[in-house]
Amino acid sequence: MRKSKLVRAMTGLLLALTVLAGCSSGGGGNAETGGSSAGEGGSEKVTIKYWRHDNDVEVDTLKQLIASFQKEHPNITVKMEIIPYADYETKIRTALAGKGAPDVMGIDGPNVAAYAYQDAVIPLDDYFAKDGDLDDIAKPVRDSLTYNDQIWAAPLNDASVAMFYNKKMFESKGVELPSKDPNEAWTWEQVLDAARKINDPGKGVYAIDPAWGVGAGEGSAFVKMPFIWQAGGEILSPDGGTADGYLNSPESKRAIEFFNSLYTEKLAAKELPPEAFETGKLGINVSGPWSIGGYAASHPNFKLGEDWDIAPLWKDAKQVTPNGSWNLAITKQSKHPDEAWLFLNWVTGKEGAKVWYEKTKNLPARLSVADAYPELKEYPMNIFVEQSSSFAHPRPVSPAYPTISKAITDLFEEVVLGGKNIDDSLGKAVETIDKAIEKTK
Amino acid sequence: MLKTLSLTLKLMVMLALAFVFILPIAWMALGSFRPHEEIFKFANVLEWRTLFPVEWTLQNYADLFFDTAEPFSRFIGNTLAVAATVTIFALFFNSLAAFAFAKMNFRFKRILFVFFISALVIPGEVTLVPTYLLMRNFGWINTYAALIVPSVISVFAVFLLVQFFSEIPRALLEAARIDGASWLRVYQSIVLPAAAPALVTLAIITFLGQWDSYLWPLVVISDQSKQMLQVAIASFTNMEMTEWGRILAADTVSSIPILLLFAFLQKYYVQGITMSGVKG
Repeated sequence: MRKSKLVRAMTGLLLALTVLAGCSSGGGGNAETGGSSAGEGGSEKVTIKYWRHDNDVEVDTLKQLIASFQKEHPNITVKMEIIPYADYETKIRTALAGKGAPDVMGIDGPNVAAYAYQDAVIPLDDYFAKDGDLDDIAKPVRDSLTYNDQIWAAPLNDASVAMFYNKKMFESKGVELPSKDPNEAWTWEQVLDAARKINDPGKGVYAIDPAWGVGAGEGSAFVKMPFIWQAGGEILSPDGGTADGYLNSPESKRAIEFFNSLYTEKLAAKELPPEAFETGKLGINVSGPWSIGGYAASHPNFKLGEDWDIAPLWKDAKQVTPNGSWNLAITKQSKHPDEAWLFLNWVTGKEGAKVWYEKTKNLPARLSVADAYPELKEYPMNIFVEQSSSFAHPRPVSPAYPTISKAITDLFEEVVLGGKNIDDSLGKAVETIDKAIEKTK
Repeated sequence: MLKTLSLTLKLMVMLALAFVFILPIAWMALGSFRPHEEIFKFANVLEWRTLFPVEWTLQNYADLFFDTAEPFSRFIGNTLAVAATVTIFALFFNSLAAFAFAKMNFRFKRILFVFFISALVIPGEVTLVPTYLLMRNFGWINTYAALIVPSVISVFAVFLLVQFFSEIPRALLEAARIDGASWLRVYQSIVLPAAAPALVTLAIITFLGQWDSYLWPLVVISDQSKQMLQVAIASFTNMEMTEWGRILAADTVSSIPILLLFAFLQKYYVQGITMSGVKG
């Protein structure tokens, strides 16, 4: 039987392709290249693979830090690989499950406990004790990365949000402007009062977007949880063992009621066009330091001080702001944890953190950096700095955090969009969270 | 009279529908010529400026193609190469399998076919980690082989082709066999030419699937220079902001090959869907 030419050609091609692929692989840092961790100062060539999500400015800054690091440690090569933010967790989790994790990975603060619980990352206490200047890191940030009395990640920076408002809109309606003093935050009632005055849905202008809409995602949870804390409520018990009696307390309920009232009064829109604040369709927004540079780049005609201004985040029974941002952690799968720490400490240590601030303008997590720059003591950055040192509240540190975060955004969504009874929704959220906590005990 | 009226009515309904479907695409394409500031500025009220840029610019395209850190033409090239390779291999191997299932007789054929087809109900997410592990054990992570090889065999493609192939009269094949042709010869000289419309359909479906693939390349490719189009576009959105101008320009560029494919081969595509749908 003669084999057809086509069959032979195609099979040959596919074979050639697979062989080629086999040869070209294996260059990656995590491939079994043999050789154990050489420890500090070893001259053995080591490649550290580092994964993070996308952000042009931060990636450029890291390229610079990697270049200086490699100059200092010629035997270590750092290979940074960028993953789209939207599916970062999908990729990380698949790689962890498939034993293909990088040596160093970026982790959003509240997910640190979950990765620690799953034994995916290693504790950094010994490294920090040696040369990590742990005390220099702001305490709320440190707390947010501490699980089971150990610290599991090193922060790149902190984050905070404040009240951004359209100054022209306030002035044209004769509304008093909020104070820029971080210790004189507006109360919920003052915000509500101003929102009622500037609201103009007929013209497509909405007064307020209290917490980035009512969608899912960690950003959404980040800005919603403070409402509960401001009212005097909590999400979990102090030991992290249950949400019952905390998330469904009268204080937490009041927070949801207030939030929902903004929507039932039509001061907030269930759906806003993208970039509503920058294009003058939104009076009050919450955002962080990143937006200062962001608006200047994307909407140069929308000027800070003329068109818009920043005031401290509102308060109720308490003044509370969210905190925590992205960190670096060393994976358990890494074969070179010592070299990985050298890199971590290069980027997040005292000197690296200064470069990081100068380039990215992100809120520093290190006290020495906050002290080193006068501009951090002036408007508008002083608001974020002061908030993060005096009023910051970490998100719950719990291995069940991913479920908690989703339960919180679902709760707001159900009440605002679904019009569900607040008590029922709170009950459901508590039940979901407690079930998830139970599993991690 | 009545006929012209109903025809006009039909035409008007069709035109209205076409307008509704084209609107978002037009908004995307025209929006890609706007400066970032303007993209959502007129989104509230429907007027001419909602669709047409006030200030035209090519900046978004310049940002897209002259960005040395994320070279967009490289992503297009990668995707074209992978999509074309997968399509060629898929046509070949799936049609061979379909030919065997449709026209040859062998032991356990029915059971094998049922077993094979039942894989249609397994969603891709379920096989994500196992396939990843397999790729890792082959040492293929971060290579084009990981994008190409697992994508070649498709249960759906075999199913689709079996439907087409069963239309070809058995007598024709038997005549060829009697004349001394091998099975492969029969496949090559009789079945393939007869099934050209089916193969075109499959080619389009496979190519589109690869062109739009996102989750798999996201997971197996980490090296940006090897990345595929859709993952690259997704990276224009980060935690703090979305680069709408670049996204609209990238979407417009990446829609062109698909629109072209559709414009010329739409007939086959629709045919393929109705065939597999009705007969399945």
